[in-house]
Amino acid sequence: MSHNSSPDSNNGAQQGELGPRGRLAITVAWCSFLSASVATLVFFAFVDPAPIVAALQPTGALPGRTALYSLGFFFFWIVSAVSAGLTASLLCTPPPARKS
Amino acid sequence: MSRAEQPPADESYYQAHQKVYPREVKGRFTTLRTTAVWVLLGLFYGLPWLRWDDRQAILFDLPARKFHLLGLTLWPQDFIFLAWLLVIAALSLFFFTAVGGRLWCGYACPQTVWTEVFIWMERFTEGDRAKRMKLDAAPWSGNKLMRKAAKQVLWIVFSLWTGFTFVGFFTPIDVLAEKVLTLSLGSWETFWVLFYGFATYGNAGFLREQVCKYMCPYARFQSAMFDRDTLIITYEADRGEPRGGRRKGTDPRAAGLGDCTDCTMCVQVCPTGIDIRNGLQYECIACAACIDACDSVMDKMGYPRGLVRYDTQNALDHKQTRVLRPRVIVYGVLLLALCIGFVVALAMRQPIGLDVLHDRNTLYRTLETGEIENVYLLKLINKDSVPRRLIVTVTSEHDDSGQYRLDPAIPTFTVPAGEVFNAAVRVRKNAWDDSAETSEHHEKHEHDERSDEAGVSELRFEVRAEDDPSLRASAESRFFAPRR
Repeated sequence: MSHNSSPDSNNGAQQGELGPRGRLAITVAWCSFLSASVATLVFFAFVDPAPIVAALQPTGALPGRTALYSLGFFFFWIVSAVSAGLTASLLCTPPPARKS
Repeated sequence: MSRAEQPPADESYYQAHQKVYPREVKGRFTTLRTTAVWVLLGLFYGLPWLRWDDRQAILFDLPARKFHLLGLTLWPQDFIFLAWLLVIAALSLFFFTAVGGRLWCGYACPQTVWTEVFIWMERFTEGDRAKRMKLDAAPWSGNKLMRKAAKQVLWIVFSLWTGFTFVGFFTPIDVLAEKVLTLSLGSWETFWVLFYGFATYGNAGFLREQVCKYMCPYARFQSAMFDRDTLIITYEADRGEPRGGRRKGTDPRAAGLGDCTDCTMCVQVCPTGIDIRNGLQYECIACAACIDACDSVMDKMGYPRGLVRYDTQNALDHKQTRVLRPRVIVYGVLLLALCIGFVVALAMRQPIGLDVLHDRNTLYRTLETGEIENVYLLKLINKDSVPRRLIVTVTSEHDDSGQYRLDPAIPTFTVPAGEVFNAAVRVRKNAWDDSAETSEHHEKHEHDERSDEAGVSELRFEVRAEDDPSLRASAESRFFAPRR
C-alpha cells in the first residue's frame, strides 16, 4: 500500500467535515449542554416545579413535570449557550491593532 | 518518508479536517475494547428491561420525583447521595487517569463505544478501509447508493433504538414500548427519543473523533492528572528509528535501520488519525489500536513486540517508574474514604421522613374550652419498600410537662411503601397557662426575660415506626397563641 493511502493524504471527505465555525458551534453547544444538564439536575432536585406552576396558574390544564423539566433544561441550555457563544465570539475577534 | 512528504503546516490556526478511515485491527487490546463495548452497551440496552419486584429495576422516575435503583429508592431529599456519587465518579476518573492514562477514553467513554459500533455498521455495509475510501472517491452509482443507503438505515434504526432506550430509563420502558407500537407516544417522549437518537447519530456517525478533539473538556484537562509515571501509549523511538521499509529477513542493524518498518499500520488504524510515532499528542484517546497493529507487524517480521506499547515517560527515558506517588496516594485515599462514607451513609439512611407545614389560613383558634389550637399539615414519607405504621408525637424544647396535646391523642398513620402521606393534626394547649414558655425573641428583646405576651413557641414533631422505634424522623414548627 502506498503512502498515499495514509489518512494524512486522504483528500478531504464529503462527510464529517467541519470548518472553524462549525467546530466553534459544536463546542459551544456541547459545553453548554453539559452545564445545562448539571444545572437542571441540581435545580430540580431542590425545586419541584409542579406546585409552583399550579400556584401561578390555578385554572386550566397544567403541564406535567416531564414538560416542565424539559423546558427548564432548554432554558438552562439557551442561557449557557448564549454565554458560551458570546465568550467564544469575543475571543475569536482579534484585538485592536496596537499603534506603534 | 511519509514525514518528509507531508505538506508544510497550514498557516491558518485551523487545520482542515480530513475524514479518518480507521482500518480494522485485531489483537489483545482490540479484544478488550470489543468486550467493553458489548458489556457497556449490553448494560445500557438491557438494564431498562430488568425487573425488580413489581417495577423496573433501574428507573429514574422524573414525573414522580423518585429514582429506583434495584432495591433502593432515592427521593429528592436524598440528593446528597447523587451529588456524592458524582464526586466519587469524578475522583475515580482522576485516580484512573493518574495511574493508567486515558483508560476512560479508550475503553469506556460512550463516544468511543458508540463510534465503535457505528464503524462496525459502516464496515458491514461499505467494506473495509480501502473499499470505503474507494467508494467515497468514486462517482455516485447504484452500488454506492445502495451501500450508503443501507448504512444510513442501520445507523438511523440503531440511533432511534438508542433514543428509545434512553427515554426508557425515565419512563417505564414496557409502557413506552407499548406506546411506540400503538403510535401513542406523548409529545415530550417523542421529542426526547428523537433528540437522543439524533445526538447519537451526530456524535457517533458524523462527528466521531472531532468530539474528542474539539468538544471534550476532559480531553483538554486530563493532562493535568498526568505525570511522567502515568501509563501512555508510547513509541520507542530509540528502537524504531531510523524507520524504513525492508525485506523480511533483512538484519535491520546491518541495513542501518531501526525496528520500525514504516508500514504506517499504526496510522491507518488510528481512530483520530494521528501518528503515534510523533510522540504523545492530546488527540490520542489511548485506544491502543496502534499497539495491536504494530504488534502484529512485529510478529510477522520476527521482531519482539512492544515497539508501540503502554508505558510511562519515565520508563521510556530509562528511569524508574513509581506507581505509588503522592498524587496517586492522595486520589486513592480520598476515593476510598468517599466510597466507604457513601456505603455507610446509605446503610444508615433513615427510610422515613417528615415535613411539617403550619396551616396557612389560620394561625390559631380558640376553642370553647378555652384551649388554643393550631393545625399542622404533616407530610409523612415512607421511603421503605414495606408499608409502615407511623406514630406522631410532639414536644416543645422548653416543656416536658406535656402541655402541648395532640388531637387525636396518639395520631397513627399507615403509609404505603414508597409514598408520601399527607395528614392533618391538631395541637392544643391551655390558654393563659403561666408555665407556658412564651417568648417573642423574634420581635421584642426587652420582653425576652419575662414576656407577658403570648406569642410563638417552637414545637418539635417526631415520627417513629410503630414496629421499629429506631426508625424515626423529626421536624420543627411553631405554635401560635393569642396575645394576652
